[in-house]
Amino acid sequence: MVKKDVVVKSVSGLHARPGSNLVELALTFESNIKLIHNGSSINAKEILEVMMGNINCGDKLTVEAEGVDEQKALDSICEYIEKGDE
Amino acid sequence: MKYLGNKVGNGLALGKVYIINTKIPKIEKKTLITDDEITKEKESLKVILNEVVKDYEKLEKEASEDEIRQLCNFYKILLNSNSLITSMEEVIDKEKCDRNEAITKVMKRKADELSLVDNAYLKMRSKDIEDVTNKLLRKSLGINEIDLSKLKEDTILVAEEIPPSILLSSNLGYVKGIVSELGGKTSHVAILASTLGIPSVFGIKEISKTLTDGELIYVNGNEGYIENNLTNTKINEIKDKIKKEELLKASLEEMKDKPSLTKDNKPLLITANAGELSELDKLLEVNSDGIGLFRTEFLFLNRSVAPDEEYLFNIYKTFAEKFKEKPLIIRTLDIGGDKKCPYLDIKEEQNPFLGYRAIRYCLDNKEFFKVSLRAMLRASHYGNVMIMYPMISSLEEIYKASEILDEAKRELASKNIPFNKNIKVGIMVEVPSTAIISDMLIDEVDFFSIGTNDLIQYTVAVDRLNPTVSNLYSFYNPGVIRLIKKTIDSCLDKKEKFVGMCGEMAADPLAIILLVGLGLQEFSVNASMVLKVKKLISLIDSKEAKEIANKVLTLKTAKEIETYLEVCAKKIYGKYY
Repeated sequence: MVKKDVVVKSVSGLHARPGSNLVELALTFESNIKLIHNGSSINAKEILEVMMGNINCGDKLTVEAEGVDEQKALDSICEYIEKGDE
Repeated sequence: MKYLGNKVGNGLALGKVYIINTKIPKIEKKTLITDDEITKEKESLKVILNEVVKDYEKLEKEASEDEIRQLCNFYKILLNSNSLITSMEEVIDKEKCDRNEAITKVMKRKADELSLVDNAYLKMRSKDIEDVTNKLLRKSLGINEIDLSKLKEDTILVAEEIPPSILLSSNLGYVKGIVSELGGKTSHVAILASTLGIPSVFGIKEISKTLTDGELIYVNGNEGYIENNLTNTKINEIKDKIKKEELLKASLEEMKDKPSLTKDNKPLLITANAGELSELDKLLEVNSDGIGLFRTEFLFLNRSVAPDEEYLFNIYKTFAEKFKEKPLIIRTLDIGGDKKCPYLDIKEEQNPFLGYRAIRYCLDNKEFFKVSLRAMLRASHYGNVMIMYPMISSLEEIYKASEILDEAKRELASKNIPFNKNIKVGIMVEVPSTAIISDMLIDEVDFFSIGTNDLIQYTVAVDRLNPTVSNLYSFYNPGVIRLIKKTIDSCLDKKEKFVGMCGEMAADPLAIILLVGLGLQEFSVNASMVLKVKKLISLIDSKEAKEIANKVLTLKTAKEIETYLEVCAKKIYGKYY
């Protein structure tokens, strides 16, 4: 298992489009991907979980990935979350 | 008969009523007995989910608008969820019920969970889930979807509540208007309707029961009402109005690259109001003369901690670089007890609009305020950034704000961080006391921007969202016009200073004539209105407008003023009005 801390940069947090895009990205990997937010664990492949996580701009997250492509998954997901809206 | 509702905008329409009922009929419960039945039921559930996913995929591909593509994409991902399917299967296994029951139960649970989260956006999304549920059930029950592509004549959709999915179809050619009982200006359907440019009025009580299928109605999305039982004269009048509006619309494209000039070539600034990052493309497309009001609230809301300087700076810089030498007027935080912001110490108040808000809060929280100011100053190095303070009601507040700004400047200078040392600073004129002493205030600032929405509310003492008194809210109130004139006069012969207006009045065709006549220099309007205002102004002769304004100042009631301006508008705008 690999993990990394990130800060959400997108203005609308991980709602709306950024949330959908994150889930679509997560689905392209085989590994299980979790977002740890305020102590609760969110499955990054489940749109409703991501939305209900109420993850807002500026929030800190820990991304965890476990599986055959875990490093690649972790890097892509973290890069996406840190990229923000640009 | 006229029915008033909430204006969603997008123009005028005439068409026949089509009442939409997307309610699912009561479903008989079925109990499954054998394991075989249960297995079959689960298989059929998967087939249905799959088919609906395919439907959304198809809609996503056909969609021409980004907004719609995004919504289809969301529905698709939602239904592709593993846990959703597993939960539904579990329900079938455990309760030995049919797939309809499983769909209803699981989707309802999800919608309820979403609506519990304290976030307006998610609450809105829980409505979307209801919409998807109904689509699944229709598919499961073999009920046909409403097919708007089969319409053969101009139609107005009427419903208790319009499900967003109705507007996902790519064949909406004959859908000319939308009327509903529920739904506000910020609802998902309203946003979709605006994206598609369909004239809409929401919030008319009982309207889907009042109107009958096939009757002709008029929808005025701009003013927020509908009308039925139309006489032939009225129908012709409406058709004429719609034709003129279309003519005006068609003439707008060519305005993009033209300078903002009156008919007698007096240059004016027609700028846009902005308040969302996602609007940037639209703002650039209409080629406005800059941003007359950059609302920064969106950067502060829906967060658990205050945004930091770096983050704000990057966003301001993005805008500054895109608009280059054009003005980018950034308004400092305008927030109060009516909006929840967990990290700000503003209590809920009985009367937040007369309470602890905007500049009042910022002046008391200097360090918090300076974060924003430093971000704006730093961005000023990359474009024509100006700073604007909201809710100013006295000279002392301007002094205090300037002191804090000077401090922010010194902090940056001491670290050798570049910024525009001559950055322009202005105030919103939206409190009557400010308008009244505007001649004294102008010496302390570089510009005024008259915020009419609040100025009218505070001057007339009326909450425009309260339907029982909202008729008192008028752009043409003679007291309001005097305050506007006073503010413009205070600025007029001051070199290097200017006076503008942000607020809906700056886009009102009648008010524009008066404002040009009074000498207003900058009109800041919503992006969708920029070209229209530019076009209307190009038809106005400033000397003629001045005479009209002088006449208006002698009229004693709002009604008289409106009637008089209406006559002038017909003459000036001709075939476009």
